Amino acid sequence: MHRSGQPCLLCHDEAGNAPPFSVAGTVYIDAASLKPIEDVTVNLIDPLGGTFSSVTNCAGNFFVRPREYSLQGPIWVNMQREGVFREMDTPVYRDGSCAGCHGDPIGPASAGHVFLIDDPEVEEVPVSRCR
Amino acid sequence: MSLSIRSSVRGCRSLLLLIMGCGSDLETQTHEHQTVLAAPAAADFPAVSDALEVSCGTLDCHGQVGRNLRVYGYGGLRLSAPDTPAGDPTTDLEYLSSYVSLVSLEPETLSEVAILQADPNQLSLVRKTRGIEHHKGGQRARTGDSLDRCIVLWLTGKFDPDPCADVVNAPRPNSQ
Repeated sequence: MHRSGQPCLLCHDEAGNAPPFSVAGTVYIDAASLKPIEDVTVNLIDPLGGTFSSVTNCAGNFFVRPREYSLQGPIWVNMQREGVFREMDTPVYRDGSCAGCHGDPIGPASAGHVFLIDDPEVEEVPVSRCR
Repeated sequence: MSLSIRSSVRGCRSLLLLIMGCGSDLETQTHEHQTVLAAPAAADFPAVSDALEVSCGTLDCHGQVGRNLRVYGYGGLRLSAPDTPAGDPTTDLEYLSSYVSLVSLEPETLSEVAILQADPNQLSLVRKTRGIEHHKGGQRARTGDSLDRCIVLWLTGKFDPDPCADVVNAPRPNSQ
């Protein structure tokens, strides 16, 4: 696990000491757990409909490098895996770190961590291939 | 909503006037030792605020307590617990708090725009939104587009809810 749930671009920035990312974050299974989920496709959609996709690894992390995609907000984000689809209510304008807005705990100034399954009784929790 | 907003706003106006040591006349006048301030209508502000919420008020922009211009509301910063982003709809108190934040940015200039019909470009709010002045969030509106008209018409006392609604109801882009 590499700093799951932390603001990736604090270090992975052009001015940081790690390879720069333009967008990066961690996806968890649901709102109640901190168990990451892999193989979730995260789609970044610009105002003209241009789309770039990235897939989470076994740490639940995904990352996009600046040479692949440059964040020019507003960017609309959705994600999916095995028929489960989830999308953000609002676009991303500036912060390429998901955890910049999606930190724990959820509260008036934070949307809480990013998760795929909204209702485990309705949406089937995928079987993990990661150990 | 309007009644509670209006009554709260009356208090807000009084507060602004009190802070500036002003009289009761809501016109921009510079007297020997006092300035009288005015602000655009608060009763119309919720529609403007809704447009600001989706354009400016996300948690990575003006939905932060560290910003001079704070925009509270449904999709971003909430005023108080237990409200959370993407939870319940924007509350009257959140509309009022966003209003107070906005009208407190440049009160003298805002008064001139609202009452004396001064050029809205005198306001950093308008200059930044139009990209005339450096804005970390970039240009968010072009002169005459829906967001621009929503803001400027309200600032100048010619509020029109339609462009504000157009901003709020703009469709999400479809993935190609």
